[in-house]
Parts: sequence; structure tokens; C-alpha cells
Amino acid sequence: MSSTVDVLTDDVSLSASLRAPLSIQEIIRRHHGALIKFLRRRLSIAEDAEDVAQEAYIRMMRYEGSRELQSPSAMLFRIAVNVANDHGRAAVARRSRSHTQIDCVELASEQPSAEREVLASQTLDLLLDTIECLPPKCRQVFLLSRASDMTYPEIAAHCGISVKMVEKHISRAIAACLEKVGSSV
Amino acid sequence: MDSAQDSESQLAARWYARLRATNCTPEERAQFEAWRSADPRNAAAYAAAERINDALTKLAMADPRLKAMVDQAASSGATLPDDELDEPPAGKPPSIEITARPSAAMRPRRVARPFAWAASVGIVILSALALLGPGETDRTSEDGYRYSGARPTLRYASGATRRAVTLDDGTRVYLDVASIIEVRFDASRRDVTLIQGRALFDAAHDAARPFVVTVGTDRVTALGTVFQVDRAASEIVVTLAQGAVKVTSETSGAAMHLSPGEELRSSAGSTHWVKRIVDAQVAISWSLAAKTRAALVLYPKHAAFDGDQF
Repeated sequence: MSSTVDVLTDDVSLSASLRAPLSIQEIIRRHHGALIKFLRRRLSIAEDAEDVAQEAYIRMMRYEGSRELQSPSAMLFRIAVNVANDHGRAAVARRSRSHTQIDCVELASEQPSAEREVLASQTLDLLLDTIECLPPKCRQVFLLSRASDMTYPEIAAHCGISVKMVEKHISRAIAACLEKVGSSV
Repeated sequence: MDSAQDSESQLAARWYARLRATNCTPEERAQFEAWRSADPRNAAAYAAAERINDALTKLAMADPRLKAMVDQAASSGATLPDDELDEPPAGKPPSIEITARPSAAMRPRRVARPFAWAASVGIVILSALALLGPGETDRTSEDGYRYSGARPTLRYASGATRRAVTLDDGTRVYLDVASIIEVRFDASRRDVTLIQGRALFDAAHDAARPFVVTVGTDRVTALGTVFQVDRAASEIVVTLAQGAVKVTSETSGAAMHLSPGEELRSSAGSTHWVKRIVDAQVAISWSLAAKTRAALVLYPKHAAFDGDQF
């Protein structure tokens, strides 16, 4: 079971005084792969993921040695989302001359009609309502599994649960979605 | 939707989640195919599950509402409470004991600078018996040598990228991210110090010069070729993939033997090791992705090391 050993290491149950000081190296080692996969899906230009991750680590450096962070991986991903957003704003200006992948083009905001082809808007609304009503952990796991290439062990490490629970949460979420919109997709 | 449909949906959802698990077996895939072809309604339910999931993946970045939910999920980490207590106790890794942590975490540690660890370095001796042939040598330039006493010391470090290094003797070393080793070879010994992080060694055979790895405050004597040493914030872990290993605590003098597929764990501040059986291939699987290209320099402080080999 060595593959799941990392799972509980965030130790969210410990009070700040008992928490080990934050080590950026440790954070990178544990979450770099997952973060890159998340960012590759998150960014319109997947190749920028490394740059965004680097910037996030640098911004994270100010917390080095801190015992105050309840969930360092959450902080890392939050910072990375911010960096990605900054990055995205800058990228809009360059979009006309940048090369993007076909599926990125499909997702570009200039083509809202493309997304409507994927699901009828009514169905989409119902689907998102369903996801919103899932229990928090279940929703978190399911969304990460959909919007990144993170593996179950990576999701488990990020969410502080076992790999087995990741699978259970995903299964439960899909069952809920099928129940609500299964007949209309 | 009637209840029969519900049950197909449940199964379809379960199969969808199972097929995407890293440990899904070929037998399970065959069972799935049998289930799906057994009844058109099964196939329909599974196809619906696929369409929902594909749509969500496609829309994750295009739909503002969904995107906001995804960002929230990513930013929440382990802070969200567990939904309910239905996690089977058996699913928890047996070695994680919260009670063991405070003692390590509470040890006064002024700064989190990993390099301060070097002050308390003990010895891990690992002498290689069998070995693979030497790989291609990417010998470092003379500029990379640092001199401490008479023996030249080479320092290899990885930043945010994993890195593979071939030492002078043909030994292959895989450095996980944010890892640092120092290497000193001379006529009678091959010394490697794991300053921080995790390294996998595929040691080249050289009966005349024992292969010695130094880490932590315990002494480990290993006989084997492929082994991993992990120096984390609160513990040191030695994992053996091939060969045989003897671990000796420098402080207590106690010795333990490791066989392939076993690992020894020592918590910071603790004098004893805990032996466990692990899947060594899983334990070292990170090294498969190690790249030979130069690692990115992440921190300014890395630049302060004379002789870093990037």
C-alpha cells in the first residue's frame, strides 16, 4: 500500500503548533505532478503549465517555514489558479498570433455556440445543479477528476483521502448525474 | 427513471470510476465488457455516463460556472471536511500514525532550511554486489568539482524537474524533485551523501570500491543494486528493489536486514526503524519519469552552491 502512504500527510487535524513547518521542497515533491496536470487542462496553452507552476512556487516561498497553513496543497493550487488567471489575461492579447491546439480552439470563449452543442443548456444547468448539490468532498474529487488529468492517487493526496475513497466519490457523483440527466444526454 | 434504470446507472457509475483507476486489472476490464454487452440497457447507461463526463471535461474551462467550481475544488485541498465516515478503516495506510507525528514535528526547529540538516548527517553504507552495465556517461565538467580536503566533491541538484545522473563509475542516480546529493569518489571508496530529497540508485559493480550513501543519523549497510533513499522532513525511508540490504542504526548499533520489496522507515528523532513490505516498483515508479535534461533552477539559493550540476 505504499502508493497511498502520502495520503494523510497534510495532517489537517493537527493544531498549528504541532504542524511541521512548511517546506516548499516537500510541497513540490508531493504535488508537482498533480499541479502540472491540473494546469495543463486549465490553461489555453498547455505548455505554459511549467511556467505557471514555477511562478506559483516562487510566490509560495513566502510561507517557507510557516506552521500556519492548514492545507499547503490547497494554498499551492489557489496561488496557481491566481497565476493562471494573470497568465490568461496576458495571453488574450497574444491569442491572435499564438498556436493553439484544436480542442483549445473549441473551448475558446469566442465560440460559445460550441459548448452548447456539447449539452443542451437546460441539461447543462441541471447537471451543474446536481454537481453543486453533491457533498463537498465528493464534489471536489469529481470536479478534479473531470477538469484535470490527475490520477486517483494524485487526487487523493490533494484532498487528503484514500485512493479508494476517490473512486467511491467519483462513482457516487456519476450516479447522481446519471439519475438527473442520464435520460437527456 | 424507474428503479431498474437506477441500478444500471449505479453500476455504470461504478464501472466508469473503476476503469479509470490506476490499479484496474485486465480481468476487471473483461468483466466490464461482459457486463456491458449483457444488456443494451447496461450499454446505454454506460454511454450516458461517458457523455456526461466528456461534456464536463470539455466544458470545464469554457463554462464560467463550472470553471469556478473547478477552481474552488483545486483550491480547497484537504481542508474540506469528509462527507461521512464511510471510509473503510482497511483503506487507510497502516503506517500513518498521527500520534507519531507530534514528537517529530514538535522538535524545536528554528528554521525550515533543509540544508541545516547537513549538520546531523549520519551514515548509510550501501555496497553494490550485482549491477547493470554502466550506462552512457554524462560526465560533468571540471568546473563542477568542489574541493573539500583532497577529494573532489560533485554536487547534483534537481529543482522542479526530476533528473537522472550517471556517475563516473556508471552508477545511475535518479533524483526526485528538490533533491540534492554530493558525490566523492576516490581509489578506495565511492561516497554519496543525500543532502535532501529522494534518490534512487542503480549502483555499478566495483568490488574494490564500496558504494557508500550517507543520510540522516542512522547507518545503513546495504548489499544490492537498486535501492532508494528518501530523506523527508520527518523521516528517512530506505526501499530495496533488488538485492539485499543491512541497516544499522548508528546510535543504537542495531542491525536489520532488508529483502527486495521491503522498506525501512525511521522517524526524525527516533532511534529505531520500522520495517514494512511495500510494492517496490510503485515506490520507485516516480523515477521512470526522471528526465536527463537539465533541471530548472528554482530557487535563488540554489545558485549559491558552488559547483551545482544542472
